[in-house]
Amino acid sequence: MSNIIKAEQLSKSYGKKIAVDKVSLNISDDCIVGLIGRNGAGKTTLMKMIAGLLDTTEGVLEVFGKPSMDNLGILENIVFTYHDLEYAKHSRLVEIIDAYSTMYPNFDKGFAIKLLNYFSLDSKLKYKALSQGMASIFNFICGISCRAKLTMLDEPVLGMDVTVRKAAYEVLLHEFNENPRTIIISSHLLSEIESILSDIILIDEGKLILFDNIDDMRQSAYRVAGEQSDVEKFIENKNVIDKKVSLGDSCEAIIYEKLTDTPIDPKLTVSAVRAEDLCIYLTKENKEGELKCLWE
Amino acid sequence: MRINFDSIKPIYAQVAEAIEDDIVTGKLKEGEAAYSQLILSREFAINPATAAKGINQLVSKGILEKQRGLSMIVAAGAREKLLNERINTEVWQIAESLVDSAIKVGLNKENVIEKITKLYEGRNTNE
Repeated sequence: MSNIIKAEQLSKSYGKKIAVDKVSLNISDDCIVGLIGRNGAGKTTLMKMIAGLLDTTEGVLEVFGKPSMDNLGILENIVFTYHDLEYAKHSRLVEIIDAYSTMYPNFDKGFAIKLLNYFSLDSKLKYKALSQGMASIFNFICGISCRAKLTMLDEPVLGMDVTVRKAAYEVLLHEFNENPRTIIISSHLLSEIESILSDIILIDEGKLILFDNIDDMRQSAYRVAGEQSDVEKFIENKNVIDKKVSLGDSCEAIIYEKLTDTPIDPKLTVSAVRAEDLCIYLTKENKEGELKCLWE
Repeated sequence: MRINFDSIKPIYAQVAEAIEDDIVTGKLKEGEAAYSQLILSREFAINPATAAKGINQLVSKGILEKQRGLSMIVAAGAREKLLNERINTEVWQIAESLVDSAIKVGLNKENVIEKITKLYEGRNTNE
């Protein structure tokens, strides 16, 4: 496996606002990475820097072993799709596809046209005539048809309805199996893409919270539930990231540790924490009690 | 079979279990080709790396064997090995939940052992 992206202490600020804050990571070839974070977490900024569309403020960023800014030799191996193709608004879809195929040597036009039909998009339509969901499908089609070694899709399913989203994930996984490459997908809908990912990056307020193999991440936490006294005893000296006490002294705690083989008090129930829930626990602001205040 | 993302059991372990199921039921026969990483990735809509972990788990258990080239075959004796393993784990699992339930309702070890002994004796007299 070779390294595609290397970031060390990478930062980006806009004036006083720090959008990406000392992020270090290495991404290898042939993997599907989910870039997860809330709105404004820094996902798009990070991808734009990797794509060479934004200057870095501090730190090291190498893509294919070279800085990605202003390096045309690298750029034909990187595709980054996002929602507003401002420059192409008045073009027809087929013209945009032609433009992609001149920019990207591996672009498979036949495949792109087949995908347009598959998703019932008329290639003669103008880009500006597309609804949000249709524009997302079109951007997705262009992105994966480039067959670029590094493919970055920013919120690719924005505005798509649930059946189209499912079809898009299926197409993505098939295409990855046929033509492996490194794919980075940003999303805040982790539960939907979780199964096709190999790795996950979680960022919050510009900081890297977690970067892990998805299978390891799923096993990095678990939930115990039971009577409060039993739960309290069990979680002593453990890394508890969330705890809820509900009616009748029942209690539930999320432990951010790998479950060991040590037998657990049979009075407690142990269950899995879904990757998406774990992300929420890890990025949750302490807003306890605030909800009630809204009606006071 | 579908993957259960809420299970405490890792996805790759569920994949391994699905392959084992097909060996036990005879859908996959010893000496014949097993499912590839790509087929499993499609079937379960999971990342091929996760599917590969499931296959590797079965290779290290001696259930699957790497053939020359890349394909995997079901190892000789795999079915019997799995059957034995399942008998063991299933019996022990029932024993474990028996003990759990007994503790919850306040039965002690002696009560449980006495009952089990009686059950065994009952079986013996029937024979």
